[in-house]
Amino acid sequence: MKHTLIKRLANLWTRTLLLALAATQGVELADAATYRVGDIATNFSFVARRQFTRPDGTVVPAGATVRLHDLAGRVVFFEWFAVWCPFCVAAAPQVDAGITDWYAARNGNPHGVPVLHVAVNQEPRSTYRTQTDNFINQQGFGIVVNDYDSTSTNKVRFMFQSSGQPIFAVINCVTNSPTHQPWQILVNHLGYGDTDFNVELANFRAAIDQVQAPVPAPLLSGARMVGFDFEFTLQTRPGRSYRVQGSDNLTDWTTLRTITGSNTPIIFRDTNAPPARRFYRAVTP
Amino acid sequence: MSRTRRFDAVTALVAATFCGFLGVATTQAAPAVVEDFSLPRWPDGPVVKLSDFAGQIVVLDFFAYWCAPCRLASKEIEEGIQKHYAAQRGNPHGVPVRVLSINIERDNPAQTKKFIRETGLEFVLNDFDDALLAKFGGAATPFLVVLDGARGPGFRVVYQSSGFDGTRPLRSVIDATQPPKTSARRELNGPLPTAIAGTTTPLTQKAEADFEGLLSSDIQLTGTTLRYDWKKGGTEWRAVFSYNTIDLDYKPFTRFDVLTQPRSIHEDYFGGRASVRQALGDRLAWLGAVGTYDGFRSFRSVWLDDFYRQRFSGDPLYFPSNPQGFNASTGLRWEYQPTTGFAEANFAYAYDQVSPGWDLPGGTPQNPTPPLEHGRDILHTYAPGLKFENVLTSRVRALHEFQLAITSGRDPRYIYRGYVNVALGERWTCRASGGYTQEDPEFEAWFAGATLEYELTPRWFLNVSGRYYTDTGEVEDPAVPSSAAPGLQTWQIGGGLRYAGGRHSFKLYAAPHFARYEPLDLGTREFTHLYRDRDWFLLQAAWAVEF
Repeated sequence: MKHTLIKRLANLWTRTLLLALAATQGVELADAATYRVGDIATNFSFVARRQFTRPDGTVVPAGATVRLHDLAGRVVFFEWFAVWCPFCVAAAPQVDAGITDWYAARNGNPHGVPVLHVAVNQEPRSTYRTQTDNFINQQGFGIVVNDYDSTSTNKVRFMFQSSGQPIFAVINCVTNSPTHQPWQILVNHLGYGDTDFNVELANFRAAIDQVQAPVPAPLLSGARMVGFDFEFTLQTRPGRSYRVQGSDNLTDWTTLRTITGSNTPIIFRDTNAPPARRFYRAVTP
Repeated sequence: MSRTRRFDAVTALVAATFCGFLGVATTQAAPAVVEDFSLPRWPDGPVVKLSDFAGQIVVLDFFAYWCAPCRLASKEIEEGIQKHYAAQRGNPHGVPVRVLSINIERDNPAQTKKFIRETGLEFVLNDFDDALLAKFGGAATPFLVVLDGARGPGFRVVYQSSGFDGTRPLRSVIDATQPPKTSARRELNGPLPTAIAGTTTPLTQKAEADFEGLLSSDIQLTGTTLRYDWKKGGTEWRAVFSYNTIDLDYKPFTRFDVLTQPRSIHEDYFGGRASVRQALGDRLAWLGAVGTYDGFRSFRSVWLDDFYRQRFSGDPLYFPSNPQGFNASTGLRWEYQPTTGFAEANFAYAYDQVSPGWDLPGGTPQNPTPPLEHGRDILHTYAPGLKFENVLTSRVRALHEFQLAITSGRDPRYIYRGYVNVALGERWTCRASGGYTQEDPEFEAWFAGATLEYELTPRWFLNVSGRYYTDTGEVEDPAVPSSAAPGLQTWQIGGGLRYAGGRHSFKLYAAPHFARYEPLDLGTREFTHLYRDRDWFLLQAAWAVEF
């Protein structure tokens, strides 16, 4: 009894000392910096756990390196899991219904951008290999990669969260989206949540749905002189904003007018065309 | 890993130590000469004096018509003492024996009359103000005194007892009482020689077998206990052997768990315990006990053990559990008011080897693949306790227990339990109990129970009893899967039958028992099939024999 009490007091004292020490060196205790929403991800790599076919038709064999940039052209949903993690197990079928099947049924997000699900296994120990394979088959995962190579050490996971699982990350891999930068991180979420994971999934979808498809360049045609005026036709996307600009030297451009896109061709007439040459272009936005 | 359940076992152990000695108090009274007294004969007859019975052995049997145990005691004393010795013309040494039945209740003479008729009492005196009862230090009935007048002049108390333990101890004392030899005359005014006191001490032995079954659709529990009590003079020994079985259908919660499979499990538990109570003089007794066990102590620990074993037994760091333990306790019991007030201080220690919880941490950049971890598998518990037992009035007895338990790695747990026995009327007795337990950070538990017993005949009793328990569950950490139980409520209402004969007694009790858990936290969702609401059926049977 007494002995235990002394030990407890000693323990308490040691802890207090350690805390005081830590407080003076606060910087060292801080977690390594992890990605925040809006950051641009590096071209990190995984290892294919089993063979899969890339959307462009390329077959990726098991064991091959899969880089982030290999997945260009889509919004990619990464789901880290470990087979022994109950919340990862619970989340998987909900992600399947709320992300994978959801976007497959709608041919991508509302802007037609395809959404790709990538399951990331984080457990490297051979003890759990069979159980992990069983789980993958049971869940019907499509693309499955390992977040470790021969070093058996997770790397990419810790770029997103300093500890814990499951991790859900959404990255815009559309390189010419008008709304997002290439490799921009839209979601970086740890855990199954305290209440209803379907609420989290709805938040994930809200972020995914904001990614717009690249806009085709406006098509200029039918250029002609009408009296002293110069006239040409623009083919545009409805609702988008375009600036029609003019330049004498192809270097300095002046906005002549801002117009809104339409389904029907728009005729632009320059009533103030100079007698010398003038170059025209339309840019968006 | 479970905090609640582990603790319960320790509580049970300590409680067992306490409860083991809740029996009837018997004292070897100092053999001083008793002052002469006179009481009127029932219902309003002439005054009778003690000295009228000079030279005889007088047995005083204090009773009241509403005292259920008195009915049995008075009847047996009338038959087994008064009539027995009358037929033999005194004890084996030829000393006449006289039973004086003393009624302490003034009201309801009709009921008293009925009592006297039914028990066949022959010689009844009135002590309405409890004056004589108080003189002997008694407060509750039945209260028995044996006065030796054979070695007169005057009478000496050779036996007194609060409660009735059968006629056997009385007969041992009566049979050993001899008239003085002429050569020993000079000792008459001195104290009784200890040798004589020794020979008057009766030896009683008691054997008891208990069975309990608790059955639900997926879990079946049984407990069998064999007990042997040995009592001679100031020494009491008790040996207890327990054998329990646990059968359960393990079922994983597949939404959260893909690593474990359904399975039927059977586990055995063996326990042994020995305790002793040694009188140290008239008012003080020393208590000691040691015990040991091997096996799981609850279905919860069996369930969790299998859960973790199935999940992690492939891991090189996993080791199978081997639950077992031992415990020891020591204490002092002090009779601070003769036959009516007892205080007990106790200290218990328990060593428990338990099945720990296991966890695979997710890792950090500095330590990406940390090894399998487990909770404490060795627990030390230190439990000091205090107990007070009081006869408040002739109809009410109360017992209070205060206890502190300090277990490795946990905050101290504070426990209070109270019990009250009330004689409600002629044939009704009520036993009520209640308790409160608290442990930081957030555990609290309450219970309340009551048993109402009706005396069908002097030997047969019917009872109904109910019990309600609730706790707040353990603190959950949503970040880490935790096996701690959520809040729990249980209740049961049942009925039983009891037979209390001279030597044999048995009882039977059956009750439906309901357990309801609060909704599971996310961190406990894996244990959905463990912390499932269950409807149980409880069956208890016990048989005891005295010899």
